[in-house]
Parts: sequence; structure tokens; C-alpha cells
Amino acid sequence: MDGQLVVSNLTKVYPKVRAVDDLSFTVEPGRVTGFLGPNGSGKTTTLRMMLNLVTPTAGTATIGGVRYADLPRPLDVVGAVLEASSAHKGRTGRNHLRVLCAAGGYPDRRADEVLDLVGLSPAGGRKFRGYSLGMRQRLGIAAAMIGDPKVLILDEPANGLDPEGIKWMREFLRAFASQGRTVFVSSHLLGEMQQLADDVIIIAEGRMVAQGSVADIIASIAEPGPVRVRTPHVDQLAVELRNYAVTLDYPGENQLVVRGVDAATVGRAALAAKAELHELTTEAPDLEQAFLKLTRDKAAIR
Amino acid sequence: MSSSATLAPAPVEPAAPGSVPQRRPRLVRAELRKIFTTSTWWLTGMFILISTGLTLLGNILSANQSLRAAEQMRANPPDFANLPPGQRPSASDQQAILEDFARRTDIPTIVAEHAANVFTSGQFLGLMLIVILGVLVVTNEFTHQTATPTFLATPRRTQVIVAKLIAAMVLAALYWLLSTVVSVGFGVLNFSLAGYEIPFGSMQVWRPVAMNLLAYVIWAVLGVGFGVLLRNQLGATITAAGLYLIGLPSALIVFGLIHAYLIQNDAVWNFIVAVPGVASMVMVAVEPPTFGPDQTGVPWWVGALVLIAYGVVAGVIGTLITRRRDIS
Repeated sequence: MDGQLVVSNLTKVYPKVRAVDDLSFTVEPGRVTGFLGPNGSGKTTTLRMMLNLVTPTAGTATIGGVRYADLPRPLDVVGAVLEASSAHKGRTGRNHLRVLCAAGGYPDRRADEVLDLVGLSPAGGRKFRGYSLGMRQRLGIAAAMIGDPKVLILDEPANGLDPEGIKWMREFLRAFASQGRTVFVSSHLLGEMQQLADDVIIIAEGRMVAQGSVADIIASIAEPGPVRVRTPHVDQLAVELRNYAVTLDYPGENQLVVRGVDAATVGRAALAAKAELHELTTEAPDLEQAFLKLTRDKAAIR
Repeated sequence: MSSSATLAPAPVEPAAPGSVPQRRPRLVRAELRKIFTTSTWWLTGMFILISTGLTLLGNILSANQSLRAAEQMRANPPDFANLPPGQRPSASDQQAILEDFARRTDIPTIVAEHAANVFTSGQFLGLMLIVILGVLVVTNEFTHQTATPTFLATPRRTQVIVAKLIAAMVLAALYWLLSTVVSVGFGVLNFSLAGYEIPFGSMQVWRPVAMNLLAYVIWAVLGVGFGVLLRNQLGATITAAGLYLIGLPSALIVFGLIHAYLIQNDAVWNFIVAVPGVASMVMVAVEPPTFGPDQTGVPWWVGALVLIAYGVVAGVIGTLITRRRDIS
């Protein structure tokens, strides 16, 4: 059985909202696929429907051609990390894993092996209550690895991690995918996704917006990259740029990053504002820019 | 606390594929492990021991007092020959008085009655602790968000609920054993020290002990059922404990009203056994209790059947709900 994920016409209708609306996509093994969307766009609901935790209103999701509920030994096939605090506060990390070992039919020593795998062995005898967020995420990964699965599905795994934790997670997931296994990971950290993912699936309001490789998605928006400006007259230039459809960032003193227009337009605006320019460079467009363009005008909260 | 400060460098290479041995999932074992890896098991055990110990002390004192009273009575048998002829009761009355005296001073029977009481010490609070334990077995999964990993490991949710029911029954039997070993141990010691022989061959002694086990097991099932029906931990605990605690008094009021205004038939009182708390009481009673005037007692097995029916209904409805429920 390979680890290809296939989602077909998946739909979830709650009384007041269509959380997921006729969503179809495939996720290939051997690659890291990012699952992006604004808050409330249906990412978590989609992942939970793929794992038989939420019942779809319509549509199907399969893993290697089989629905999750029909997998004879699901932990052998899929490891999932959905929420960072899925353990009893008064139970030690090792015992949490041992409970899952019994439920999945694995020997108890597997708990120690996966603790070791995520570097959590020294804290295995401590109660979950005393774990930092980073340790909780690692325990979640350890639980997902009990069955040595072919597929990892993660919901916002970088949430609350410090930079070192994020780097560790990125290396772990890349190594996992490089063995020909499947990684499907939702996130709203676009910079992190650009470093981590090979492919991305972008949804908004429960519907598909774009899917493809990161490079293709960025190229598809056919928009100039962000323009970096260095000027002692940041305020005047910013006022002048309000006349255009732009988003502005202020990364440091006398600096401005303009998205939405090209360098020539910024130069013209600077002339009109009588702003003195010390630097005017166009950077390569990034995933964040593509994401913002693709999901513009989609309500974040429905 | 920083994760980086306390953690060893992590290997980034996942284990080689196919290295994990395969066994059959052991869901009951997983459920028991969930209880024995938190403080729930010893807290419950401690409360059971306290409630058993206190009621045991009371029951032993009460038994000894009854036996002392019977012994004193026995030392002064009715002596009709010493009475003046005019005050002597008739022959038939004398017979009745002697029979009554024999009954009140029948030490072996008194020992047997009290032994049953002593050997089931701590039952009242014990059953309430067990029903709460049953509730916790289910609601802990939602309070601590462990339902997600549980149902990921076992997507067939009926199997999870069945495992929880079995685990709760096993736990109930263990706590019954704990309570019974303590009660029987100290009870036998007390009766032996006082020089009384316990009629160990008598069902009068053992039936209440066995019924006590049945009560523990069924209330555990009811607890699981309530937990699945109302997954809010506090709500389920209060409902289950409330149904257990306020069973009889409120049932008496309701059935009093029914009897007075709706069905003026005394037999209606017997249906009071349909209330779970009353059914439990009927099941473990030494003598079949009677409700209302001129009624024959309700036999123990009616109470048992009523409780089992409640357990099955709660379990089935709860399982059906759990199968459909979104875990989010």
C-alpha cells in the first residue's frame, strides 16, 4: 500500500456554515505537502474528516486507496498530530505512549523507542502537566511514530515552537519525506512553509484556491515581488503610495517594503512625494505574497 | 521551562520501515492502563477503604451490641412456674412467648444476619464512587482531549466503548474485592474473638456479598453509560451520583402522588423498583423490602434485572451517539 492521500468532493456542512465545500486534491508520497488557508478556512475540519474523527456530509478521503476507518491497523499506516495537548495532565509522557502501544497492539518498548526518536527520553517519566509546548509537540510526534507509519498528517505543528523547535520539526519532516513517505502538514506560517514544503494546497472558505509546487504557485500569480525601499522620508512616501493598491511593511528605520506594485511605480511615487531614495530593489516574489493575492477578499471569519 | 534546555539532541532519522513488531490490539488493557497511570485508581481505593472502614466499625459495634443483648436475654428465660397462678398466661400464650424468646435468642441466626451486614460494609458510598469512576472512564477522554488519539488508534468506536465497559467492570470487581477482603477479614476476626461461629455454609451470609459484587459491576456500567450520554464531566458525575443518592426519597414522593391521584391500587408501590437507586437497594437487601401497605416484598432479582436493563440501555444509546459524534 502506498501512502498517497486522495480527497474527493469532501464536504462538511454545519448548521450555519459550509466548513468544507466540495474539496478534491491528492497528496503524493516522497514529498512534503503544505496545507494553507486563512484561519477558519476548513483546514482542521478537512484533516479530521480524512482521519474519521469528523463525519463528512459528502465525499470521501482515502489513504493508499482505503478509508481511515477501514484500515486494519491504522497506526501502521498513518501517524497524526492534531492538537498539542492530547494527553492526560496527570499522566507521564511514557505512560501516555504505553496506553497507545496497548491500544494499537505494539510492545511497550516501542514507547521508549519513539521517546528516543523525538529526543524526549529524559522527560519520559515526567507528568504531561509539566511539559512545555515544545515538549508537547514532540510527544505528539512520538505518538504518531508508534506504528512507524507511511504517512504523517500534522495540524499546525509549529504552533508555539521556539526557533530551535521549528528547525528540529522541519528537519524531522524532511527526513521522513526523503524516505519516500508522505507528509501532509497544515500551517499558517508561510515563511516556514516556503522552506519546508515541496507542494502546497491553498484553500479559503472551505474551497480549493490553488494547488501545485511552491515554485509554480509563486510563478502563477505573475506579480512583481516585494520592492524594498531605503529612504529618509518613509512617511511622505507611504502617504503617496496610499494612492495605489499596496501593502506596506516597515522592517526597520528608513526602510519600507512595498507589495502590489513594481519598482518603477514606487520610483514614480517617490518623485511625486519628493522622497530621497537610497535603495530601490525588487525581490523575488514569495509564498506569502502569492497566498495573500490568492486569498484576498476571502473572509477569515465566517 | 524551555524545551531546548532539558532535551538531548534529537535524532532526525525516523526508524527503518518494518521494524515494529505486530500484536493484537489490547483495548481493555489500554483502558485499564489509562486508570492505573493516573491518580484515579489510588484515590478511589483510598475513598473505598475509608468508607468501608467507617461503616465496618459501626456495623461491628452494632452486631456486638445485638449479640450482647441477646446473651443477656438468654440468661433470663421466661419462668412461668415462679408466677402466681392468677398471673400465669394461658397455655397458648405461654407457647407464643417461648417461641418469641427462642427467636430473639437464636444466636446463630443473629450472627448470620449481622455477618451479612458486616461483610458488605461501605456499600452505600462505595457504589457511588464506582458510578463516578465509570463516568470518569469516558469523560476523561473529552476533558483531557485524549479522545483524538484514542479514536485514531481505534477508529471502530464501538470497540472502544465495549473495552471501556469491560475495564470499568474489572475495576469495580477489584474495588469490591478490596472492600470485601477488609470487611470479611475484620468481621471474622471480631466474631471469632467474641467466640461466635459464623455460618459460612449459609446463603444468608454469602448472597448479600455476591449481590454486592453484582451491584458494583452494574453501577460501573451505568457510570460508563452516563459518561457517554453526557460527555460533560461535571454534568455526568452529578447526574449519576444524584440518581444514586436521591433515588428512594424522591421516588417515594412521586409514587405517593401516583398512588393518591392516578392509580389507586396498592400494587403500584411495587413499581418503585423501576427507580435505579431503589432497584440497587432491593438487589442487595438481606430481606426483600416492602413498599406501601400490605405488599409482599420485591425479590432481589427484580432489582438486578432493572439495573441491568438501565445499564444496557445507557450503554447502547451511548455507543450509538459515540459512533456518530464528531471529535473536534
